[in-house]
Amino acid sequence: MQRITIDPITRLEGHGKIEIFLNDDGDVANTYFQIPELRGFEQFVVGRPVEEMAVITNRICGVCPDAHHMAAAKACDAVYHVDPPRPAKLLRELLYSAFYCADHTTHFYALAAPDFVLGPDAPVPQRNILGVIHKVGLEIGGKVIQMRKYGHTVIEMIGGRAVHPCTSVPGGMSHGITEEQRQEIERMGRWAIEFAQFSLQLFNDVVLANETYKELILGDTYYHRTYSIGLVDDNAQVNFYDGKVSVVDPDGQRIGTYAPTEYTEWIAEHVEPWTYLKFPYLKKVGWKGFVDGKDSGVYFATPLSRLNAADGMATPLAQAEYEKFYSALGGKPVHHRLAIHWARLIELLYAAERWVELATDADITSDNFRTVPTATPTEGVAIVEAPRGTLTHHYITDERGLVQKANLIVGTTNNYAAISMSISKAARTLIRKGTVITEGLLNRIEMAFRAYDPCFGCATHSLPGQMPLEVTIRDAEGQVLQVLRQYC
Amino acid sequence: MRTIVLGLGNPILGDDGVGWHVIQDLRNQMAGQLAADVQVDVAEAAVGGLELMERLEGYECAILVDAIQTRDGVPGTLYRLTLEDLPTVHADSGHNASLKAALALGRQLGARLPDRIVIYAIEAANIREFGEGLSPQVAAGAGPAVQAVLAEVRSLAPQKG
Repeated sequence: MQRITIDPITRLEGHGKIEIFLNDDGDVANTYFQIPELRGFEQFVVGRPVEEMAVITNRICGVCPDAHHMAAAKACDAVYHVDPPRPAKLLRELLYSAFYCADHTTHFYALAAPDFVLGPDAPVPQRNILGVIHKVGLEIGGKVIQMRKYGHTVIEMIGGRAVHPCTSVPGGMSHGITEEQRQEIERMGRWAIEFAQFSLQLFNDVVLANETYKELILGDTYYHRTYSIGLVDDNAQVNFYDGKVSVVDPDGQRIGTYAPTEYTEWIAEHVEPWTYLKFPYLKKVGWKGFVDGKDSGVYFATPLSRLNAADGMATPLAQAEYEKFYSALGGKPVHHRLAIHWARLIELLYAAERWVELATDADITSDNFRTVPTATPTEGVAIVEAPRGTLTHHYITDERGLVQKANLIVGTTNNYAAISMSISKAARTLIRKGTVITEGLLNRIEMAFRAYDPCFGCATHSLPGQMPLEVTIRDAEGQVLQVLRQYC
Repeated sequence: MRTIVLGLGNPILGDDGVGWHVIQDLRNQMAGQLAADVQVDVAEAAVGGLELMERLEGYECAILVDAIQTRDGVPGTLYRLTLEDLPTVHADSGHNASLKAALALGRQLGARLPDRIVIYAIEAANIREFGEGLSPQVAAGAGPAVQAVLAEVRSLAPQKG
């Protein structure tokens, strides 16, 4: 059996590793997506005051600190049995909307756009954000940086710090915003709406107008029929901060919604011997292996699944884009995984519109931003939508509020089975007997998981001492036939 | 020369946070040791790629302190590197860009970014297990790193006379 190893993966936080095993005929026999597991978080937090979780858990991940901050803050509210006043909820969601705008922008322009603007087979040195701005214009780079700056500014105003917010406390917020700040936030939000519309237009002009890219998105290589999940509000519309999780089957039928406290009734975890990370699946459907279909409990939690799981978007411009999206792709649900990139831009527009809605709410500058908890702390669960998927935090404390147990299901973990399946399908489709393994071909396999924007090595910033991408091809006896390297 | 000394890493992920430890020790030792005409900001950050580039804006010189893992490296070993010494993509910071690409982007957009970037990297042992402490060998390597950074900062002072 021949063996192809891709280690580590480019443009993926942390060092994942893809192993592709070929049979004697040169076809793909099997694939394994292995990721490094960060250990010991549950032990690390035991005995700490639960209110510290909002600042500890946002250190888990250097990419989604705001998502962990929000999930932790809401779980702390639940632990202390306190419902924050409306202005506090508005402030948190406003911060979160600004975070989403910065995060979705960065993903699209730095990670997705190189494959579509430059092309999946473009020379490696060009296939990055610099290549994108060289091709479509320097002013776009300026807009991207501006969008990020506005996002960070709002986070700092409300969250106290630009990257790792610290102002959500049990029962609300530790401070509010002034009218002067509100006006500034509103101004930036209106710019964000224009930027999101510009981004959708760019996607339309550069990607959808290109038949090759359209075929890439709509072809079978990146297609999977799985369940979709996503947080929805009372009107079954997409919401990132609060609501219930909607679960929709591969045909688009909603099989139910669950509140955060019900997550253990809906989600179970499957163990495989070749990886330490578990595979969450829908308990009510059951684990049937890495397979598509209604009988398989595999689901995905991404911008696309959120759109599939909802009845629509809560803001007008995003709703119009939502309708255009499903009209163009043949109705709901959509299972083409590269369409996640398009869905992400629709979410960007929603987040920007929501930003302005919240900034213009009469309560946003209210001084009533905290209800001090008085009940004895016990247990709490909370769910938010992280950009990379549904994020669940569950804490149990003693009567003093010291953490006894913590359980986190992070965004990317939800997608582990789906990502593994996407890699396997792409590899089986693209590698056949006699196929010459090129960098472009490997990049097309990487595109299968890049759409999910996976994040495994949360905030591991140690410098690399190894080649970013190395491919080893071995014969049936394990002898090295060929070694391919990128960025050497 | 406006300078920033920035400790990088995740402060709750074992040796990954060695940069933060170095910065803490550096603060204690720097007090009163530097000439008044050396403008140095000292800070920690758990960011990379574009965020890191944005953090460096406005400085002429940056000294980064970070963990590193090399093939067969001995934990605690200190390396002095420049951007040219790093593999081109710096793992291409999963969710945006490598530091090199981010700096190039920033410069093209007219940002004032450091012309001089020095990286002090300490070989890490454990970067997979949560904890605020360092492995003994890595903790031992933090001391020489503090001294090296102090010497680097002193070398930036304008020559008198």
